[in-house]
Amino acid sequence: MKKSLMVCLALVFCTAFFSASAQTTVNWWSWNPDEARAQQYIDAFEASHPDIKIEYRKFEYTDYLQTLRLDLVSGGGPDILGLQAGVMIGEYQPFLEDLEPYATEAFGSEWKDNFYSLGLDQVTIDGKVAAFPWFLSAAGYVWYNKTVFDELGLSAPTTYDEWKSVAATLRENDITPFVQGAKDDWVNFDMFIALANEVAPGKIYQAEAGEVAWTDEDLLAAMNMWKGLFDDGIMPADALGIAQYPDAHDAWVQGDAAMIFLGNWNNGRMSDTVYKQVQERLSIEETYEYLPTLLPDMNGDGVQGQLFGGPDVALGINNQSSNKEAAWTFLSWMVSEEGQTIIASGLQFPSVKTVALDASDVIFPSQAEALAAQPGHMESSVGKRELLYPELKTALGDALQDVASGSVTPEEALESVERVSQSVDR
Amino acid sequence: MDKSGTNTAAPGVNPPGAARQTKRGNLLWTGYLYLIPVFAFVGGLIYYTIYYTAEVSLFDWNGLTPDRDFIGLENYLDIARDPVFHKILLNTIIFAVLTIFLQMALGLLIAVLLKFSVVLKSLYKIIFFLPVVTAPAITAFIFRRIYSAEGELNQLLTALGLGRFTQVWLANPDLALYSVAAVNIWHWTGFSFLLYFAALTMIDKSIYEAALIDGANFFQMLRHITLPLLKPTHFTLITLGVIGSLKTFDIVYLTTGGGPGRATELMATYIFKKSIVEFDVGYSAALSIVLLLLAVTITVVQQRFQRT
Repeated sequence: MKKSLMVCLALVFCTAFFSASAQTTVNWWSWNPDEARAQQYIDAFEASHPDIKIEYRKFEYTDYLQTLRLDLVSGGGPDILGLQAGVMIGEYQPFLEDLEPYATEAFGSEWKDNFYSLGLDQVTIDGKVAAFPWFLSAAGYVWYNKTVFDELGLSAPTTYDEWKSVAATLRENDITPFVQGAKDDWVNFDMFIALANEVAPGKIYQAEAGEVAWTDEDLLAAMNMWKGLFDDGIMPADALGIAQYPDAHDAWVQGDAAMIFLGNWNNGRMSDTVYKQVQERLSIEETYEYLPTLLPDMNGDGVQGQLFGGPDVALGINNQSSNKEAAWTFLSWMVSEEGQTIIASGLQFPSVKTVALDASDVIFPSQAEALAAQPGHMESSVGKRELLYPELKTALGDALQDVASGSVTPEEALESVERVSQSVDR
Repeated sequence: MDKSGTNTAAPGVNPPGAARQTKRGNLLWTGYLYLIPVFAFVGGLIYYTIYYTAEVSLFDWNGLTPDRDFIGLENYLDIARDPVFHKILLNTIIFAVLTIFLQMALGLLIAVLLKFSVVLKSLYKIIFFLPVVTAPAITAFIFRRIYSAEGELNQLLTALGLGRFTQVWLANPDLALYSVAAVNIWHWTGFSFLLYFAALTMIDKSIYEAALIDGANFFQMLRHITLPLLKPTHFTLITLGVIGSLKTFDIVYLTTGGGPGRATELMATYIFKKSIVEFDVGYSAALSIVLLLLAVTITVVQQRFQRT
């Protein structure tokens, strides 16, 4: 009896040991999502893949860049890494596995048709699919607080004159009309790209590629519009001294400011679940009706602005990983219908066309309508958010702040950007 | 050995002196062994990283690819020609002069006042030192609010009837550097106070008593006794202040990010941006070496002044 018990225990131990050792651990690092959100994906994936264990490590963005750099250079790093389109993916692509052969084998040769090209194009570098867009985001929306607008009998501005008029009314009622954390370059880029695409769609990307000078008259018109936003009282006077998150965003969510320029990554503010968390965090008692509207028509051509964007977070496989197969299994699941459905349920925009945004959790019917319009806006988006050349980004960031502060004229600012552009090694 | 110098020890037997020498020799070597961890730490972590940074500064490198382009001193020549570097050097000098001397003056003032019999003296000490241990992230967040257009500073000015002096403190490129310097002064004055307070307790009271008998007033004692006897503390604070200014990062990065434009950019924030944001690791390494050379040069000059 005692001997049988020992044998049974040994068998249980061995089974447990071998099943544990047969489980492959895939390390996933990123700056986004947070741990709680990541766990949703991990739980769902591990439930259907008991042989793979996912270890997620979340970093602050700048810490992530430093840690990733050191680890990859020394032959380490995670199996799956979160990436941002533009500069980051361009710099890190030598460490990334080409996903094309994996995808062709798993999904067939037409697999690319399933992805929004807006996302996939920006992670494809010289024909190499360096990552998969996990979820997309596009900038170009002026988000407004409809509750505040309704109280004052206002409607979303569709032209620049209307925008100025709405701003004046809000100001008369002691409400900051529009808020922007212009301390942060990224939000200034978003606004300037939107303005440039409003004047001459796509020209800013030609300038980035060195095909058009930054002093081009259309880009100058966009820079004058940028200056106008400050001169005409749309932008708050202290915009350059505040951050977009948390300062500007929180002021808008709390109803202190009526409008803000963000993208569809802000969709969560229309979700009952997410909004309750925000209300609790910021002690907001009222349930505001937040809605997005396209950038007002700035140049009088009768057409409002367009969205522009790409992958919010892309996921790639470290080509030095010893768990590439398991990493691929997880990555392919993340862009599968099951993985993308979780994305859509949080009102983030899926990277594949077969999964739609899930509007079941929105607070107001108008928000469901706004969400329904988004795929169309995404399909007709004009280009990307992330510029490719870091030195050009820095020069443009400085130029925008200098024009905003009145230190330089729009012409001088664009001349300085053009000087840097000419020195870029493309 | 006897007094005549003749060795009286029997053959084959170590004389007592020799044994002591061997023992001393062993002790000496054991001592060197104890130093190895320190040398390994200092050499490995500090001097090697300086060497590595100096090496990287000779390359055009993004910090990622295995291939690095050797460009010699090109990065240093670029620094000399870089208008942004000239701007941040000026910013750093202004920031250093403002913060160091104001922090010292305020720290000394508080320390001298608290040497008198003051009610709740211990509480004041804690209050004045508290900002030093406050996390820069919190400090920056609070001051971004205080400095905003509708913030407490402008509200205070308006309440005092000084509404015409309200400003966008961090958004105005002409004021932003001074506004950030004020945050730094608030943050670090407690440290100056602490050093001065400790140094004041070391001054012999009889010197003041003698001065009082000679009829010296408070200001005469401050000028002719306190300030000269605090000279080592002044130099310590200046040295630490200069190095601190060259390394200042968190407060600037979190309040203005170096902007508007480059209005508040300092050495450390520029190095960070070049390396992390722009992936120009070679150039940022060269900037780091320049920073190191500046810090060493200033420290050596200060020490020479201190000796004279």
